[in-house]
Amino acid sequence: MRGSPALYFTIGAMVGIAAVTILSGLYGAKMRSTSNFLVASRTVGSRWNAAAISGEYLSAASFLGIAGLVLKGGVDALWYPVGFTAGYVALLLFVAAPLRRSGAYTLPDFADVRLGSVRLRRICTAFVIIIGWLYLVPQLQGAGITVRAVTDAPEWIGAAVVVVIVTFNIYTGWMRSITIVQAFQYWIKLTALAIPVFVLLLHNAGQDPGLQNSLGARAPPTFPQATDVTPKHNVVLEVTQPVMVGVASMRDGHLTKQTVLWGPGEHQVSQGTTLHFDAGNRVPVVRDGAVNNADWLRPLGAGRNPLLATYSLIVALLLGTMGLPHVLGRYYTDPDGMAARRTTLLVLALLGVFYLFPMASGWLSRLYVPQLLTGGNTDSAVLLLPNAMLGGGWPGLLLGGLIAAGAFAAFVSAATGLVVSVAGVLSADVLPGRLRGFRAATLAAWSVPLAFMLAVSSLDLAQGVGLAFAVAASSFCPLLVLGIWWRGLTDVGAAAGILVGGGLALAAVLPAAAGVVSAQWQPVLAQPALFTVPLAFLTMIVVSRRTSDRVPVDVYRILLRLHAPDRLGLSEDRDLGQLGSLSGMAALPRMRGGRHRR
Amino acid sequence: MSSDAAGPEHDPWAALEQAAREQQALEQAARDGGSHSPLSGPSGSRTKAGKRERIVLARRRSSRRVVRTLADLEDQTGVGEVLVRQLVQVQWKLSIRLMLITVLVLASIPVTFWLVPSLGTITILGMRLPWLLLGLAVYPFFVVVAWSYNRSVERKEQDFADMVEN
Repeated sequence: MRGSPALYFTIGAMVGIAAVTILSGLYGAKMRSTSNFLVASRTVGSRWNAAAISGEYLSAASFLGIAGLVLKGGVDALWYPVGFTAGYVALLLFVAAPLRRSGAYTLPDFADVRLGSVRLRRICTAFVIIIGWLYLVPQLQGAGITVRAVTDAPEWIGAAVVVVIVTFNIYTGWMRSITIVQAFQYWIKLTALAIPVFVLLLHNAGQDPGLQNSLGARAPPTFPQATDVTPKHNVVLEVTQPVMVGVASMRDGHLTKQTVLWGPGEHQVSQGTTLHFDAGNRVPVVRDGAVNNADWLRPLGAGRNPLLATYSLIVALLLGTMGLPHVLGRYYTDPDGMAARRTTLLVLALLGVFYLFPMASGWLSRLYVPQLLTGGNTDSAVLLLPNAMLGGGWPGLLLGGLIAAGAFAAFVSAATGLVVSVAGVLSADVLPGRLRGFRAATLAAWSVPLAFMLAVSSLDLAQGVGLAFAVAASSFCPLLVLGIWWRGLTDVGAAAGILVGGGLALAAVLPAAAGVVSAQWQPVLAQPALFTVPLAFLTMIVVSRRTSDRVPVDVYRILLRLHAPDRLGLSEDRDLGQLGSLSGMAALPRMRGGRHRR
Repeated sequence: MSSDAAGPEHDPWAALEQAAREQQALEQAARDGGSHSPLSGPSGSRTKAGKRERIVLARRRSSRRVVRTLADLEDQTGVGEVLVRQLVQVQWKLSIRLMLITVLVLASIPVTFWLVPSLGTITILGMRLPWLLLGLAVYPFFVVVAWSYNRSVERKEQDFADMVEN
């Protein structure tokens, strides 16, 4: 998909998606122009909001990352989409309706409503920012990968494009992440992935059955044609069957070429080296991937200590979704607790439908673009698949352009939601000032993930997002679950739990994100949720018990408000803001910046 | 509770007006006082008389009729506490039961394939069993869990609301 025609197709598809998005935004603005945002929000049905939540949630990790991980890790990688979806089951069972009834718009708001402590609010604010930053890095990385796959341009250009588009959106409000725009985003992303995958599956059905059967073989996949691979980073490749490699590398200023036989074992390849493989050769696979196809096809076939890593991942994803800042704000659009529940049910269905396609494209990738396993750039599998399967003609270009444009829609919508969330708490709780504060906050929200993305980008997209989930699960999940269901929670206990659980998760995750962990500890460090989540719960309960004199005196009143059926009319929220009451404004910090996401 | 039975159709409007007046007074006081911080902690604004009017001001579709009942309930702290405990407990049991089912189903998958690796090679409808489970079957399972939760919790809330209203 390289060269200029691919670029034109991609740009054409991107312009089309941008036009649809802007039109939907205008339509949405027209719908709300006659009434204030309160009434407008009540006309938004569960169906729209469910699509909006899904649209904002499906980020680079879902659009590109899962297929890449399936290509590399096989069936074990399916735990990512399963966990991304299961998180909404936990959210539904424990959080959705009570959170909606609390009237809180963000997690710091919830902490404020439930425990009324300024210090706890600040700690929550800090973690919202950290989680938002961790989640933004893969979005920028994904943009870089997409631009590189289409044009061969360096990765920072893609990241810069996303930063500019999102900042422009936020400043002008053209594509504000109002519900209707985000709802359209879901259908755009689904279409941009589903149509190409359908076509490719049909194409694949007409191919030689021997190719299909090769997936069961006790051997690595083979190169479909002669291929040159230039790994982006230093990589360690695993080989199980001897393979002839042409190695071209720059040494002391001049190019050296030689052909060597790699025996079974590990082979180090440094950055900038080009490897040549003839058609039919067995594909060497980057470390931690499933080397043999038979291992790829069966569970627990790749990586070290796969059982522990799998369980830790399940914990992080199952419990982390409820702590994501850009997801919780969305629930505020539902009129009441029951609507929040119905919305979540629909979200589960929408995500389930979407995730069929990353799985299918990961499966096809193993057959048609196995060379990515050698280069370590498995995240671009979906982008390169149409061209690899359909050849360089216009069908491949068209479908490839559609996928690339859909991927960009994914980065832009997820990044908009995240930047608005992070900038919202930055401007409300950290930086002084009103709208100007919000603009400065937008830049501040970008700075850290951008720097991080430029400094280190060795992690797979889905794994990078998984780290954000691990921190969210270790900090906000206990706060929400205990805050909603346990009357004994105190502000000191909550703060201690967040600091211990979230702090340890962060400490474990940062070296993994920077790619400097020792191999032995990798499963624990790269996915620490299995240990940090129980620890956070335990700390919160023990410290709360010790400080039981700090339980809010009106705890029953608050719990009644969170759990009372909607028709009793006990919940309390935005009407206060409208009336200009002080506590109402405090509960809606983002309104002060004029950037509520309605 | 029984005092409500007299005239539920007319009382709410009186309550609404009074609430608006009280809210105005509260805001006036806040403006005058200046130090009426919303962040003043559990002993601050939330426990003051302001609470009840906000309920009325929420203007929810079907909320008016029961406002007085609940307001009465909230005043009788003992009754309120028992009520909340019961409400939270019933809903918690439902949530935790469905969560346990979900977690058990998910958690049993990796360990089953680890203990009985041959299960991983079974082919059904052209797909390997683990791919079928994780790629397709779990999603309808999630939807069924969520649907059954919504149905049960809606019924339980209905019962609770009926109980409060009577």
